[in-house]
Amino acid sequence: MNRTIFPLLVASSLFAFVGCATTPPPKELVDARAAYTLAQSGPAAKEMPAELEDARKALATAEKAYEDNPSDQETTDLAYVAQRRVLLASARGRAAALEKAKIAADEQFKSTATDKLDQTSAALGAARQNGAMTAQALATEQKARLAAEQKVRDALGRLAALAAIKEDTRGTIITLSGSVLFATDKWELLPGAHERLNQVADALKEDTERPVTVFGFTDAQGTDAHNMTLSEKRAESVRNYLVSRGVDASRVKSEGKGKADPIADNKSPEGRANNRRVEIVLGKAPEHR
Amino acid sequence: MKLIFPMSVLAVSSLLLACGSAPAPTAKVASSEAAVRAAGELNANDIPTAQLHLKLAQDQLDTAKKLIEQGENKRADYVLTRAQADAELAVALAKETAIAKEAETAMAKVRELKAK
Repeated sequence: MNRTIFPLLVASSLFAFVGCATTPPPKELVDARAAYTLAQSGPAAKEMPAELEDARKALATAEKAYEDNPSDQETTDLAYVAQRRVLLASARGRAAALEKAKIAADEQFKSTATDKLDQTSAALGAARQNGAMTAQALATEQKARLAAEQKVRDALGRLAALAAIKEDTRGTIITLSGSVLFATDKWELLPGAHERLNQVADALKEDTERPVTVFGFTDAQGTDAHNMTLSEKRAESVRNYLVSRGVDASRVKSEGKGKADPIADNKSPEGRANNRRVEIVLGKAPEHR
Repeated sequence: MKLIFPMSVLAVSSLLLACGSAPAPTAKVASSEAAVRAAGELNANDIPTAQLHLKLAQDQLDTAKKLIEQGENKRADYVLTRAQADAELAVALAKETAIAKEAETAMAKVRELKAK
Protein backbone atom coordinates (compact mmCIF):
# COMPACT_ATOMS: atom_id res chain seq x y z
CA MET A 1 0.00 0.00 0.00
CA ASN A 2 2.65 2.49 1.07
CA ARG A 3 4.68 1.66 -1.97
CA THR A 4 2.02 2.83 -4.38
CA ILE A 5 0.86 5.83 -2.43
CA PHE A 6 4.29 7.48 -2.06
CA PRO A 7 5.08 7.84 -5.77
CA LEU A 8 1.55 9.05 -6.38
CA LEU A 9 1.93 11.65 -3.68
CA VAL A 10 5.23 12.76 -5.12
CA ALA A 11 3.77 12.91 -8.59
CA SER A 12 0.73 14.89 -7.51
CA SER A 13 2.79 17.31 -5.46
CA LEU A 14 5.13 17.75 -8.41
CA PHE A 15 2.14 18.38 -10.60
CA ALA A 16 0.86 20.96 -8.18
CA PHE A 17 4.29 22.61 -8.06
CA VAL A 18 4.59 22.73 -11.84
CA GLY A 19 1.06 24.04 -12.09
CA CYS A 20 1.97 26.72 -9.65
CA ALA A 21 5.13 27.80 -11.41
CA THR A 22 3.54 27.93 -14.82
CA THR A 23 0.76 30.32 -13.75
CA PRO A 24 1.58 33.12 -16.15
CA PRO A 25 2.45 36.44 -14.51
CA PRO A 26 -0.42 38.92 -14.52
CA LYS A 27 -0.33 41.57 -17.23
CA GLU A 28 0.32 44.18 -14.51
CA LEU A 29 3.54 42.44 -13.50
CA VAL A 30 4.71 42.11 -17.10
CA ASP A 31 4.03 45.82 -17.62
CA ALA A 32 5.81 46.74 -14.40
CA ARG A 33 8.92 44.76 -15.38
CA ALA A 34 9.00 46.36 -18.84
CA ALA A 35 8.51 49.83 -17.38
CA TYR A 36 11.34 49.26 -14.93
CA THR A 37 13.73 48.05 -17.63
CA LEU A 38 12.92 51.18 -19.63
CA ALA A 39 13.26 53.49 -16.62
CA GLN A 40 16.74 52.21 -15.84
CA SER A 41 18.07 53.67 -19.08
CA GLY A 42 16.04 56.90 -18.76
CA PRO A 43 16.77 60.14 -16.92
CA ALA A 44 15.25 58.78 -13.69
CA ALA A 45 18.42 56.71 -13.06
CA LYS A 46 20.46 59.92 -12.87
CA GLU A 47 17.92 62.50 -11.72
CA MET A 48 15.70 60.49 -9.36
CA PRO A 49 17.72 57.50 -8.09
CA ALA A 50 15.87 57.33 -4.75
CA GLU A 51 12.47 57.22 -6.42
CA LEU A 52 13.65 54.62 -8.88
CA GLU A 53 14.94 52.56 -5.97
CA ASP A 54 11.52 52.80 -4.28
CA ALA A 55 9.97 51.60 -7.51
CA ARG A 56 12.43 48.72 -7.68
CA LYS A 57 11.43 47.72 -4.13
CA ALA A 58 7.76 47.88 -5.06
CA LEU A 59 8.48 45.68 -8.05
CA ALA A 60 10.43 43.21 -5.86
CA THR A 61 7.48 43.03 -3.47
CA ALA A 62 5.18 42.26 -6.39
CA GLU A 63 7.60 39.61 -7.67
CA LYS A 64 7.68 38.02 -4.21
CA ALA A 65 3.89 38.02 -4.07
CA TYR A 66 3.79 36.40 -7.49
CA GLU A 67 6.18 33.71 -6.29
CA ASP A 68 4.09 33.04 -3.20
CA ASN A 69 0.56 33.57 -4.51
CA PRO A 70 0.73 33.86 -8.27
CA SER A 71 -2.98 34.17 -8.91
CA ASP A 72 -3.94 36.36 -5.94
CA GLN A 73 -5.65 39.68 -6.54
CA GLU A 74 -3.13 41.16 -4.11
CA THR A 75 -0.28 40.13 -6.42
CA THR A 76 -1.97 41.94 -9.29
CA ASP A 77 -2.55 45.00 -7.11
CA LEU A 78 1.10 45.08 -6.00
CA ALA A 79 2.27 44.78 -9.61
CA TYR A 80 -0.19 47.50 -10.66
CA VAL A 81 1.13 49.85 -7.99
CA ALA A 82 4.74 48.92 -8.78
CA GLN A 83 4.25 49.84 -12.43
CA ARG A 84 2.82 53.24 -11.40
CA ARG A 85 5.77 53.79 -9.06
CA VAL A 86 8.17 53.09 -11.91
CA LEU A 87 6.28 55.43 -14.26
CA LEU A 88 6.23 58.05 -11.51
CA ALA A 89 10.01 57.88 -11.08
CA SER A 90 10.43 58.10 -14.86
CA ALA A 91 8.13 61.10 -15.18
CA ARG A 92 9.87 62.89 -12.31
CA GLY A 93 13.26 62.03 -13.82
CA ARG A 94 12.25 63.51 -17.17
CA ALA A 95 10.81 66.57 -15.43
CA ALA A 96 14.07 67.10 -13.53
CA ALA A 97 16.08 66.81 -16.76
CA LEU A 98 13.73 69.28 -18.45
CA GLU A 99 14.04 71.66 -15.51
CA LYS A 100 17.81 71.57 -15.91
CA ALA A 101 17.48 72.19 -19.65
CA LYS A 102 15.22 75.15 -18.92
CA ILE A 103 17.67 76.62 -16.41
CA ALA A 104 20.51 76.12 -18.89
CA ALA A 105 18.48 77.82 -21.61
CA ASP A 106 17.68 80.73 -19.29
CA GLU A 107 21.37 81.09 -18.46
CA GLN A 108 22.24 80.93 -22.12
CA PHE A 109 19.62 83.56 -22.86
CA LYS A 110 21.09 85.86 -20.25
CA SER A 111 24.67 85.39 -21.36
CA THR A 112 23.75 85.67 -25.04
CA ALA A 113 21.76 88.80 -24.33
CA THR A 114 24.70 90.20 -22.37
CA ASP A 115 27.08 89.27 -25.18
CA LYS A 116 24.79 90.87 -27.72
CA LEU A 117 24.58 93.97 -25.59
CA ASP A 118 28.36 94.05 -25.19
CA GLN A 119 28.80 93.56 -28.91
CA THR A 120 26.29 96.26 -29.67
CA SER A 121 27.77 98.77 -27.27
CA ALA A 122 31.27 97.89 -28.45
CA ALA A 123 30.18 98.38 -32.04
CA LEU A 124 28.46 101.59 -31.05
CA GLY A 125 31.57 102.77 -29.22
CA ALA A 126 33.77 101.86 -32.17
CA ALA A 127 31.41 103.60 -34.55
CA ARG A 128 31.40 106.71 -32.40
CA GLN A 129 35.17 106.68 -32.11
CA ASN A 130 35.47 106.10 -35.84
CA GLY A 131 33.10 108.94 -36.49
CA ALA A 132 35.05 111.18 -34.18
CA MET A 133 38.31 110.16 -35.81
CA THR A 134 36.92 110.67 -39.27
CA ALA A 135 35.57 114.07 -38.35
CA GLN A 136 38.86 114.99 -36.75
CA ALA A 137 40.84 113.67 -39.71
CA LEU A 138 38.63 115.59 -42.08
CA ALA A 139 39.00 118.74 -40.06
CA THR A 140 42.76 118.33 -39.89
CA GLU A 141 42.96 117.64 -43.58
CA GLN A 142 40.76 120.56 -44.45
CA LYS A 143 42.86 122.83 -42.29
CA ALA A 144 46.03 121.55 -43.96
CA ARG A 145 44.49 122.11 -47.37
CA LEU A 146 43.47 125.65 -46.54
CA ALA A 147 46.93 126.36 -45.16
CA ALA A 148 48.59 124.94 -48.27
CA GLU A 149 46.34 126.99 -50.52
CA GLN A 150 47.15 130.09 -48.53
CA LYS A 151 50.88 129.39 -48.82
CA VAL A 152 50.54 128.92 -52.58
CA ARG A 153 48.65 132.20 -52.80
CA ASP A 154 51.37 133.93 -50.79
CA ALA A 155 54.11 132.43 -52.96
CA LEU A 156 52.25 133.34 -56.14
CA GLY A 157 51.80 136.83 -54.81
CA ARG A 158 55.55 137.14 -54.50
CA LEU A 159 55.90 135.61 -57.95
CA ALA A 160 53.43 138.04 -59.48
CA ALA A 161 56.15 140.64 -59.72
CA LEU A 162 58.16 138.34 -61.97
CA ALA A 163 55.52 136.44 -63.98
CA ALA A 164 51.98 136.79 -65.24
CA ILE A 165 49.60 134.75 -63.17
CA LYS A 166 46.00 133.98 -63.94
CA GLU A 167 43.35 131.48 -62.96
CA ASP A 168 41.22 129.55 -65.37
CA THR A 169 39.38 126.25 -65.46
CA ARG A 170 42.65 124.32 -65.64
CA GLY A 171 43.93 125.90 -62.45
CA THR A 172 46.58 128.54 -61.89
CA ILE A 173 48.59 129.53 -64.97
CA ILE A 174 52.04 131.03 -64.49
CA THR A 175 53.24 132.51 -67.74
CA LEU A 176 56.95 133.24 -68.23
CA SER A 177 58.26 135.11 -71.23
CA GLY A 178 60.48 133.04 -73.52
CA SER A 179 62.94 135.88 -73.91
CA VAL A 180 63.58 135.90 -70.20
CA LEU A 181 64.23 132.15 -70.09
CA PHE A 182 65.98 131.26 -73.34
CA ALA A 183 68.26 132.68 -75.99
CA THR A 184 66.88 132.62 -79.54
CA ASP A 185 66.45 129.06 -80.83
CA LYS A 186 67.99 127.60 -77.69
CA TRP A 187 66.47 125.61 -74.92
CA GLU A 188 69.17 125.98 -72.27
CA LEU A 189 67.95 128.24 -69.49
CA LEU A 190 69.52 131.64 -69.19
CA PRO A 191 71.13 132.45 -65.85
CA GLY A 192 68.51 135.13 -65.29
CA ALA A 193 65.79 132.51 -65.58
CA HIS A 194 66.95 130.69 -62.48
CA GLU A 195 65.81 133.37 -60.05
CA ARG A 196 62.26 133.34 -61.40
CA LEU A 197 62.05 129.58 -61.67
CA ASN A 198 63.36 129.26 -58.11
CA GLN A 199 60.38 131.27 -56.96
CA VAL A 200 58.06 129.22 -59.13
CA ALA A 201 59.54 126.02 -57.67
CA ASP A 202 59.03 127.39 -54.14
CA ALA A 203 55.43 128.18 -54.92
CA LEU A 204 54.83 124.73 -56.42
CA LYS A 205 56.37 123.03 -53.41
CA GLU A 206 53.88 124.72 -51.07
CA ASP A 207 51.13 122.39 -52.22
CA THR A 208 52.45 119.01 -53.18
CA GLU A 209 49.08 117.60 -54.15
CA ARG A 210 48.44 119.76 -57.21
CA PRO A 211 49.73 118.44 -60.53
CA VAL A 212 52.02 120.62 -62.62
CA THR A 213 52.32 120.74 -66.41
CA VAL A 214 54.89 122.84 -68.21
CA PHE A 215 53.83 123.92 -71.70
CA GLY A 216 56.26 125.33 -74.22
CA PHE A 217 55.00 127.72 -76.95
CA THR A 218 56.69 129.38 -79.93
CA ASP A 219 55.65 132.07 -82.36
CA ALA A 220 54.50 131.23 -85.88
CA GLN A 221 57.84 131.78 -87.55
CA GLY A 222 59.86 128.81 -88.78
CA THR A 223 58.66 125.31 -89.57
CA ASP A 224 56.05 123.64 -87.43
CA ALA A 225 58.32 120.68 -86.80
CA HIS A 226 61.13 122.90 -85.62
CA ASN A 227 58.76 124.93 -83.45
CA MET A 228 57.30 121.78 -81.99
CA THR A 229 60.71 120.34 -81.15
CA LEU A 230 61.89 123.66 -79.72
CA SER A 231 58.78 124.05 -77.56
CA GLU A 232 59.15 120.47 -76.30
CA LYS A 233 62.81 120.95 -75.40
CA ARG A 234 62.12 124.25 -73.67
CA ALA A 235 59.24 122.82 -71.68
CA GLU A 236 61.44 119.91 -70.68
CA SER A 237 64.25 122.24 -69.60
CA VAL A 238 61.91 124.12 -67.34
CA ARG A 239 60.52 120.90 -65.97
CA ASN A 240 63.99 119.54 -65.27
CA TYR A 241 64.98 122.72 -63.51
CA LEU A 242 61.87 122.70 -61.32
CA VAL A 243 62.55 119.08 -60.39
CA SER A 244 66.16 119.97 -59.60
CA ARG A 245 64.75 122.60 -57.24
CA GLY A 246 62.88 119.99 -55.29
CA VAL A 247 59.52 119.72 -57.03
CA ASP A 248 58.48 116.05 -57.01
CA ALA A 249 59.22 114.67 -60.49
CA SER A 250 56.07 112.56 -60.48
CA ARG A 251 53.96 115.72 -60.19
CA VAL A 252 55.45 117.50 -63.18
CA LYS A 253 54.89 116.79 -66.85
CA SER A 254 56.11 118.77 -69.82
CA GLU A 255 54.58 119.27 -73.21
CA GLY A 256 55.53 121.17 -76.37
CA LYS A 257 52.74 123.05 -78.12
CA GLY A 258 54.68 124.67 -80.97
CA LYS A 259 52.90 127.68 -82.42
CA ALA A 260 49.52 126.58 -81.12
CA ASP A 261 47.33 128.66 -78.82
CA PRO A 262 48.86 132.07 -79.51
CA ILE A 263 48.02 134.71 -76.95
CA ALA A 264 48.97 137.62 -79.22
CA ASP A 265 49.21 138.59 -82.89
CA ASN A 266 52.10 136.82 -84.62
CA LYS A 267 52.31 139.61 -87.20
CA SER A 268 53.96 142.10 -84.86
CA PRO A 269 57.29 141.63 -83.14
CA GLU A 270 55.67 142.35 -79.74
CA GLY A 271 52.98 139.84 -80.42
CA ARG A 272 55.47 137.19 -81.43
CA ALA A 273 57.52 137.96 -78.30
CA ASN A 274 54.42 137.38 -76.19
CA ASN A 275 53.65 134.12 -77.94
CA ARG A 276 57.13 132.76 -77.23
CA ARG A 277 56.49 131.68 -73.72
CA VAL A 278 56.33 128.93 -71.14
CA GLU A 279 53.14 128.29 -69.21
CA ILE A 280 53.31 126.42 -65.96
CA VAL A 281 49.86 125.12 -65.14
CA LEU A 282 49.27 124.32 -61.47
CA GLY A 283 46.28 122.04 -61.68
CA LYS A 284 43.56 121.59 -59.08
CA ALA A 285 44.12 119.26 -56.17
CA PRO A 286 42.42 115.92 -56.71
CA GLU A 287 39.09 115.54 -54.87
CA HIS A 288 39.65 113.81 -51.59
CA ARG A 289 38.33 110.70 -49.99
CA MET B 1 -23.88 20.36 24.20
CA LYS B 2 -20.71 21.03 26.14
CA LEU B 3 -18.84 21.43 22.94
CA ILE B 4 -21.30 23.72 21.24
CA PHE B 5 -20.57 26.85 23.29
CA PRO B 6 -16.82 27.02 22.73
CA MET B 7 -17.37 26.24 19.05
CA SER B 8 -19.91 29.01 18.65
CA VAL B 9 -17.56 31.44 20.43
CA LEU B 10 -14.83 30.46 17.99
CA ALA B 11 -17.13 30.88 15.03
CA VAL B 12 -18.32 34.29 16.21
CA SER B 13 -14.86 35.52 17.04
CA SER B 14 -13.51 34.34 13.68
CA LEU B 15 -16.36 36.22 12.00
CA LEU B 16 -15.46 39.27 14.02
CA LEU B 17 -11.85 38.84 13.00
CA ALA B 18 -12.76 38.66 9.33
CA CYS B 19 -14.76 41.86 9.44
CA GLY B 20 -13.42 43.85 12.34
CA SER B 21 -9.69 43.31 11.76
CA ALA B 22 -9.76 45.73 8.80
CA PRO B 23 -11.01 49.16 9.82
CA ALA B 24 -12.40 51.44 7.10
CA PRO B 25 -9.36 53.10 5.41
CA THR B 26 -10.76 56.63 5.78
CA ALA B 27 -7.32 58.27 5.89
CA LYS B 28 -6.41 56.62 2.62
CA VAL B 29 -9.66 57.80 1.04
CA ALA B 30 -8.80 61.34 2.07
CA SER B 31 -5.25 61.19 0.72
CA SER B 32 -6.41 59.61 -2.55
CA GLU B 33 -9.04 62.30 -2.94
CA ALA B 34 -6.40 64.94 -2.33
CA ALA B 35 -4.14 63.43 -4.99
CA VAL B 36 -7.02 63.32 -7.48
CA ARG B 37 -7.80 66.97 -6.73
CA ALA B 38 -4.16 67.96 -7.18
CA ALA B 39 -4.04 66.25 -10.57
CA GLY B 40 -7.22 68.08 -11.58
CA GLU B 41 -5.74 71.41 -10.53
CA LEU B 42 -2.73 70.75 -12.73
CA ASN B 43 -5.07 70.33 -15.72
CA ALA B 44 -4.25 66.64 -15.94
CA ASN B 45 -7.50 66.23 -17.88
CA ASP B 46 -6.08 68.27 -20.76
CA ILE B 47 -2.94 66.17 -20.98
CA PRO B 48 -3.51 62.81 -22.70
CA THR B 49 -0.87 60.87 -20.75
CA ALA B 50 -2.08 62.20 -17.40
CA GLN B 51 -5.76 62.02 -18.28
CA LEU B 52 -5.81 58.21 -18.38
CA HIS B 53 -4.29 57.85 -14.92
CA LEU B 54 -6.52 60.53 -13.44
CA LYS B 55 -9.55 58.68 -14.78
CA LEU B 56 -8.28 55.37 -13.36
CA ALA B 57 -7.68 57.04 -10.00
CA GLN B 58 -11.14 58.56 -9.96
CA ASP B 59 -12.83 55.27 -10.90
CA GLN B 60 -10.88 53.29 -8.32
CA LEU B 61 -11.62 55.87 -5.66
CA ASP B 62 -15.33 55.44 -6.40
CA THR B 63 -14.97 51.65 -6.32
CA ALA B 64 -13.17 51.83 -2.97
CA LYS B 65 -15.92 53.95 -1.45
CA LYS B 66 -18.51 51.36 -2.51
CA LEU B 67 -16.37 48.56 -1.09
CA ILE B 68 -16.17 50.41 2.23
CA GLU B 69 -19.97 50.73 2.24
CA GLN B 70 -20.14 46.98 1.70
CA GLY B 71 -17.69 46.39 4.56
CA GLU B 72 -14.97 45.16 2.19
CA ASN B 73 -12.37 47.33 3.91
CA LYS B 74 -9.37 45.16 3.14
CA ARG B 75 -10.14 45.11 -0.57
CA ALA B 76 -10.95 48.83 -0.44
CA ASP B 77 -7.53 49.48 1.04
CA TYR B 78 -5.83 47.83 -1.94
CA VAL B 79 -8.02 49.62 -4.44
CA LEU B 80 -7.19 52.91 -2.73
CA THR B 81 -3.48 52.15 -2.97
CA ARG B 82 -3.97 51.69 -6.70
CA ALA B 83 -6.04 54.87 -6.93
CA GLN B 84 -3.42 56.87 -5.10
CA ALA B 85 -0.61 55.50 -7.28
CA ASP B 86 -2.54 56.55 -10.39
CA ALA B 87 -3.36 59.98 -9.02
CA GLU B 88 0.26 60.66 -8.08
CA LEU B 89 1.37 59.51 -11.51
CA ALA B 90 -1.17 61.84 -13.13
CA VAL B 91 0.26 64.73 -11.08
CA ALA B 92 3.82 63.88 -12.12
CA LEU B 93 2.88 63.60 -15.80
CA ALA B 94 1.03 66.92 -15.70
CA LYS B 95 4.02 68.59 -14.06
CA GLU B 96 6.35 67.06 -16.62
CA THR B 97 4.25 68.46 -19.46
CA ALA B 98 4.23 71.91 -17.88
CA ILE B 99 8.01 71.98 -17.38
CA ALA B 100 8.51 70.63 -20.91
CA LYS B 101 6.58 73.63 -22.23
CA GLU B 102 8.63 76.01 -20.10
CA ALA B 103 11.88 74.45 -21.29
CA GLU B 104 10.77 74.65 -24.91
CA THR B 105 9.82 78.31 -24.48
CA ALA B 106 13.18 79.08 -22.87
CA MET B 107 15.06 77.34 -25.69
CA ALA B 108 12.97 79.08 -28.33
CA LYS B 109 13.87 82.42 -26.73
CA VAL B 110 17.56 81.59 -27.00
CA ARG B 111 17.17 80.53 -30.64
CA GLU B 112 15.29 83.74 -31.41
CA LEU B 113 17.90 85.89 -29.72
CA LYS B 114 20.76 84.15 -31.50
CA ALA B 115 19.03 84.57 -34.84
CA LYS B 116 18.87 88.36 -34.33
